[in-house]
Amino acid sequence: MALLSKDDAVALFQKVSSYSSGGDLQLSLEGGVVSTLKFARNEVVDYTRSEELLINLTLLKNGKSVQVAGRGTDDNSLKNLVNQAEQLVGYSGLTSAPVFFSDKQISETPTWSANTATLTHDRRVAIVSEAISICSDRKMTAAGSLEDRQYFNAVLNTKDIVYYQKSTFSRMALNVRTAQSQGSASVSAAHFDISQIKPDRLADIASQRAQSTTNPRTPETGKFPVILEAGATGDLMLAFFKHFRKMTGNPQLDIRDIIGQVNLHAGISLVSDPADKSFPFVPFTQNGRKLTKTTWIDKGKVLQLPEVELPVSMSGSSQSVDDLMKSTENGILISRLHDLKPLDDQGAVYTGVTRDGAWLIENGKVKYPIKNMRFQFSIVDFFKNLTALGKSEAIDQNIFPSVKGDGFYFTAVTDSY
Amino acid sequence: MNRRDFLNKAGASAGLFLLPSGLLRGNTVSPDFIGQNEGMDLVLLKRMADFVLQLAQSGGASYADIRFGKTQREQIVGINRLIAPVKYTESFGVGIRVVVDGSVSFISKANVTTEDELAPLIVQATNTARINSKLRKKQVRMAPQEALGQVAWKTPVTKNVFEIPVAEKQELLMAANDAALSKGVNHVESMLYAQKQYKYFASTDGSYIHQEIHRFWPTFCVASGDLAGGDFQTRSALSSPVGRGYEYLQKTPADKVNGIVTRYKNGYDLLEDITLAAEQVKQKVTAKSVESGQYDLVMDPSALWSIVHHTIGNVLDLDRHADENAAEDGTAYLDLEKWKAGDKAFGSRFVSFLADRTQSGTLGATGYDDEGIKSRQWTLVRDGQLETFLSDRRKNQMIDENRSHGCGAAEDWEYPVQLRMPNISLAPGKAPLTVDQLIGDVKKGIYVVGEGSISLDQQCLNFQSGGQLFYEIEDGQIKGMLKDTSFQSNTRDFWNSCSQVCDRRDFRFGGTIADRKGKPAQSHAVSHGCATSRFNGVQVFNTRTF
Repeated sequence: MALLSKDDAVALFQKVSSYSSGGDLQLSLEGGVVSTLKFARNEVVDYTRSEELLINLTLLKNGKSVQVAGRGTDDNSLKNLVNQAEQLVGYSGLTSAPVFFSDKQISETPTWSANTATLTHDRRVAIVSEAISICSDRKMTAAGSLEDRQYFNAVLNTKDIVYYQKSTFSRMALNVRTAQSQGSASVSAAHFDISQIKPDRLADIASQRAQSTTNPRTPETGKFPVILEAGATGDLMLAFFKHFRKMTGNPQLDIRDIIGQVNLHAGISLVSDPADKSFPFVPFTQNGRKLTKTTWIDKGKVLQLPEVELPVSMSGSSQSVDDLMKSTENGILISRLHDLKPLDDQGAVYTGVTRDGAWLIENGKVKYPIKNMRFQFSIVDFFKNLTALGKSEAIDQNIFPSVKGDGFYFTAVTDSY
Repeated sequence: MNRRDFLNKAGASAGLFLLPSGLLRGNTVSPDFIGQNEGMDLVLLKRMADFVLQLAQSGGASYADIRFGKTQREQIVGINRLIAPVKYTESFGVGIRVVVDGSVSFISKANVTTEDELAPLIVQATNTARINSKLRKKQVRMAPQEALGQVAWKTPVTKNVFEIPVAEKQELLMAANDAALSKGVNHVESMLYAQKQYKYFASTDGSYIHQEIHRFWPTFCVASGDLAGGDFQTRSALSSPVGRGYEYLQKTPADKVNGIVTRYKNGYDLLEDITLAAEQVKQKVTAKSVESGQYDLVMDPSALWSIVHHTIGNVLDLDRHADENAAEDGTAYLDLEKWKAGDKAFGSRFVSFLADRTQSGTLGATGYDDEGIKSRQWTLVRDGQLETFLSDRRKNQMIDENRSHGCGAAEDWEYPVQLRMPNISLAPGKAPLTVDQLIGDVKKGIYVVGEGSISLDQQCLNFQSGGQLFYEIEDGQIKGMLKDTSFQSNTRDFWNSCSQVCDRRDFRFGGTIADRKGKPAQSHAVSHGCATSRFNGVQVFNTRTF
């Protein structure tokens, strides 16, 4: 059984502790059931269900530490886990001293939904069928996946912390393509309560969007102001965090520290709040760090970076995408960005391509859809020099606004769609 | 949060800045059932497999297969003069696939050792497949495969990495890091990663296949310059992950490829490479910044393999042509119907690609794929003409072939089989041609060595890539090192611009141990061989000034 209760987690830790010959221990547990229903060309491809339990044991002994991972909860498996840790700890040095947190107070957040936990397979197929039917009726093809999960997280250590929470998660990803004419669009929605995922709405948005991208024309390359829809802003901001999470200052590594060093546009603020009403999340990391409402970027100042990827909410304004376009004489509206890869670590220069919708803006309005393009730009410079922010909307479990800015250098046009 | 996030965090805690993290996953195996560092009880597994297959068929399955897996993984990392906490995991479990009423379901679970635990999994699999069939237009038909009976295969290793003492491996990394730091670099990370998989596959075809697969990857990255905010450069190892054991770290003259950059064939000298890297990375900091423009690229195999991987392997993957990855990675630009109608032009006449799962020492070498198909070789592109695609037991029908190519692979027991590319290699040139001769013929070019980051569009048409080391070529001579270099092309133009390929003497493999695809996302290990090749008129961009 992979979905352990709190009592199970405590009993497991007690057993592991009893097998230990000394030192400080921390047990991180995560387990549950993951289901994925895949579909393509308006039919189910396959279904996958995996039951998994991860047991990560960290041992601190005589100034050294080691991490071993296992899955078995029987006595032999747990003894084996502890033996492996004690055997290997002698070989292990420290790059930075792991910290076992000791704050025993933790408040649960509402991340469990019975709707998701009790989802039947018939209902799963029915949700996908609803999306497929709409696309099929409109002579388009749907592909994507419906994923649902019920799981638990727990962290226990010899400093007496007992963190435990059960959660559910669901996500539908949908790509819709027109029969001819190169139309394509992708949408997705994620929520811990699967009843909040509306397949008919997703299919309606995606199919209309796919239609709006048909018969794209070949644009000019060069530098253009861009308006990024919320999804594309999200693609960039998550790449920004990932880049600088890697580069964050570390006394032992002496790596570039962005915190306090870079000022982005003053309109940018980003927070994460485990108790968020729409997108709550587990209020601790698997390292045992408590998570409370945290401001990562405040009016453009980078205050700190999340050590793991968390749902974020980015500030916006009341301006719609149409409002942002009104003041744009000549620019490009972009739906999503694909395959962002670093070209230069130091300047956070990235390349990628537009995807699932790009349109030429002329004199404040969309003129026509254009083919996808490759670009090269500095993420930092782009966020520093934004010219406007728009309304925020949900992109999976995050909130991002549309934004307008300069600095995209479009280097090539591609026929891909 | 998913498993990959969990393990990526484990990697992040080691403070890795340059090297990939998140390669580990696992559970502890009960020694009473399996035995530490040993294989699997084949008699017991066959008994359980037969139970599952019979139960599946009685539940209405027209086809079923079962994969037991035991996987060991070890990661040893050195960061500057410190050893990171050693990471070791083991994983054991079972995955069951059924086809019922023309529809597929896959159920997996860890630590299953009895028929009582297996029975409910089969019921779940058959029931969910039956429900899935309501949303199928066409029935799934598995390509035929005759019974193989009981067969086995093992990676031919002479030194099992897991039997090398941890202390010895750590000493090697510390010696390597010390060699780099003593040359004045600011930061170095080195890693020895190893995995050993025992796979037991059985199917209703009547095949029982036991395999033991070894993979090993020694690597490093050095950085030099002002890491705190000024100009800095990096240089990664010129090793490759391999389907071999610790014997890969041998130093024989025959395995060394001399030139302006020392490269390696079947044996890798870690200490030598990291010492040279430390010198080269400092040169990179003060190297000339490239001028954007069109150049003839001379690509060493250590750089070219990645382009083969992404522009051949992905493009010929029939899952992409069936839109099965449309919502994630995308589709493919080639028109399958046009190909069937006779439009087979793919690249220049110098370009031929071979698909293979048999070449010893490669990542893709196994005895059988994860659908019970015996490994083989076949031609994908011959003299610029596209002959076929990559299929598994479900996609063969898309190209009107009766059989699977044997491209079914699952990262581990808990994942469903996906269509994954085998080793794909660019055939060496037929005429004698050395690297020096090839460079001597280039008027304005850039010599590219080592793998860079690559970005592709959603149909694998347009791409942009880099490398580790770049040298300017002028009038047939190497003029000096370059930096800030990235190049862009599209798959059609690139392979049509190939004008020269060195001969067999220069043929070498590169590869990846963590090629990700699909939903749920899985990693895959595969090698790509080629010889140094020339591509004319490729657009090069400066990554700092634009």
